[in-house]
Amino acid sequence: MQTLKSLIFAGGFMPHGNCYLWTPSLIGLHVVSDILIALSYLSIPITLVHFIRKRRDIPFSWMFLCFGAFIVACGGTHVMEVWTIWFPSYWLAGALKAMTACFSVATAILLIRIVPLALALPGTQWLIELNQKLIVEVEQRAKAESGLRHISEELEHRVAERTSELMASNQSLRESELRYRTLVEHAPEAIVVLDLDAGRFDDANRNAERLFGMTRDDLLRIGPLEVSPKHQPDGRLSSEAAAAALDRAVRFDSPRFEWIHRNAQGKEIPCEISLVRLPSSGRKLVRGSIVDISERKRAEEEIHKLNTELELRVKERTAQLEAANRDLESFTYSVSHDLRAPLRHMDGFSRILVEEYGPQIPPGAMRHVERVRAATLHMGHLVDDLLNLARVGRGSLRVGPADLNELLADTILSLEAETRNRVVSWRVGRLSQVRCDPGLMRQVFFNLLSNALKFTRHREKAIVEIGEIREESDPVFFVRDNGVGFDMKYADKLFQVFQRLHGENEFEGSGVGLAIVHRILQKHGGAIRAESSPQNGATFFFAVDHPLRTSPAPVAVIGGAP
Amino acid sequence: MRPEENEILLADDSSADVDLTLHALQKNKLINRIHVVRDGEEALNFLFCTGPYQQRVHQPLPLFLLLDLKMSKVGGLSVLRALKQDRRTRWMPVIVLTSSKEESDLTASYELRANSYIQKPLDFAQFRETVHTLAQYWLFLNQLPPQQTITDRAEMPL
Repeated sequence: MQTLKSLIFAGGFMPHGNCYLWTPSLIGLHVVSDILIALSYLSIPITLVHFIRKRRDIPFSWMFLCFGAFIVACGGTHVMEVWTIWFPSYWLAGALKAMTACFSVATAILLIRIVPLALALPGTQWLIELNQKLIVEVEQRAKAESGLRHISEELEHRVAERTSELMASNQSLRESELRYRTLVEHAPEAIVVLDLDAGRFDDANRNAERLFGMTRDDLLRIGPLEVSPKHQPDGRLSSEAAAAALDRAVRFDSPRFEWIHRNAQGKEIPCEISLVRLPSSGRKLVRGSIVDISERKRAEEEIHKLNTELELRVKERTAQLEAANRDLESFTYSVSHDLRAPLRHMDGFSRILVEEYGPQIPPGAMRHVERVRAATLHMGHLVDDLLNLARVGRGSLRVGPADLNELLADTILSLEAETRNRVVSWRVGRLSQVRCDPGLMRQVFFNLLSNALKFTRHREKAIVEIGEIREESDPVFFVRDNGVGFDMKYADKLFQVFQRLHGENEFEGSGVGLAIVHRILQKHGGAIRAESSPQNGATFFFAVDHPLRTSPAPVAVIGGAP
Repeated sequence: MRPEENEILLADDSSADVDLTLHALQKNKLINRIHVVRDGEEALNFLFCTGPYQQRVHQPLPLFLLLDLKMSKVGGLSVLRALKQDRRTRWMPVIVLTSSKEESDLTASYELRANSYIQKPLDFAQFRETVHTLAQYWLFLNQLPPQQTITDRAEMPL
């Protein structure tokens, strides 16, 4: 205790204030300064400790503790300075200083030792840069992150879209399949799908069930040969024929053929089959469309039967017609030979009678003989005309382009004998070319012109006009005279055989000429009609290759009444 | 029988026609130079010297034949065919003299090599004129190879 007391009070030493001569101001200056220094020295370690405790990441924290201890020690020395002013414990003060020195030296040595290490620590500037870099990076990261988020959103969106698309497509696939299923199910024909490798049906529709008389399940257990007879109508084995057809189908041909099927009830059904290979990966599938053609076959047979009957009837009718034609031919042949012969005999012998027995025959009887001869010649003309008419009816047309103008000129020339000693004015217009039988057409002109000459016989000047008018661009020819004409109420008789509108005494003729004209034009597909009134001449309109309208455009009457 | 009697052969089965033809030829003093046969069969017998005409083998053939077409037994066209197919008779002129001018008759006659085809006119005056003309032509104008019998003809080279 004594020692401690001596240490603190150091008996014998003077308080340090003595050195300041107890000058209050000097002592005040030292005391205040030392206390402030000591307080500051004490506050620094507290702050450091606080700092260390807060910043655990700071390296060399123990160094701070060293600093702390050293500064506290320094602070202690200043407190001692104040203490020693009044109490001269210089030993204690010295011990404290020594301790402080120890701390200082140790701290200094440690500091020197860690300086290289501390230098290796990053500086603040670097940290700032680093920080900025970090900020940039963070920004970039944020940006990238938002980009990523965007992409991911888009992806999600697309996935959703795709999913809905897939769902829609799935739905439409299902619908499409259903549609095709319905199409096949309700098709009017039987439809089967054949798996070629399995040799069995792979599918069959309702009509197939109906056609073969078995259920779909039963059908899918068999192949086409089980529903076919052994042979087809052409004698081939069904198996061979089917193989050939299927082979064609496999090669993507689409064969169509007739086939006899046999249903579950053993009934044979004529069918028409068309095959087509179905698209399928790996499997050989062929679709067969089978139409029951029993009805068609029946109808065909019926038609065939009817046709045969018809042909037979046509043949019969043709034979009848041919027979009738032959009859007519032999009839006209007989007429030609046998009817003319007696007439020749009558004429011949009456002539001989007159020649040989003339002087003995009384004049009255002579007139009778003359009448016999006239009648004979007339009969001869009738026969000739009739034969002519028959010939027109029988013969075939030899149609070609013909120059009617030439024909007409020839005809007029050939009628020269009949115009001798008469005044006849021919007025000939230009006629179009038509297709006709020139020989027959010449006869048409001859008959019409002869008629015109005949019925103008009593005119001082006969006028015969031949020309052409147009009926809707079709040529219609006419022959007009200024002869006696006729009453239109008899017009319908004009073209009939042996119909005459004038007395035998007035105008000779057989009544066949116009009938022949009519027949010839009819044969060409043409027609003829006449317009007239008594004493006002007559006009004959005729068309060669087309029918006539009932009333052609009126043409001024020529010549007029005598 | 004088040889000129057989210079013309008339084949016709109608007696009336024969009479008229003979009458027509009377004026030309040709009546005695005509031989008449009454159907096709007789005509062929006469010309080929067969049947009742065997003895004619040494007589010359007629200068020409007036042939009617429509005859009983063998028709005129058959006679024509037989004559023109046989080389002994094919040279002999055959004049078809008949009632008809049917196209079929005309065609067939010329197909079978008839030398002429004449339709008997209805008017007797015309008929007489016709017969006269054709007799003149075939007897006096037309030139034929020397008269020979059918046997001579048969030996002639083709």
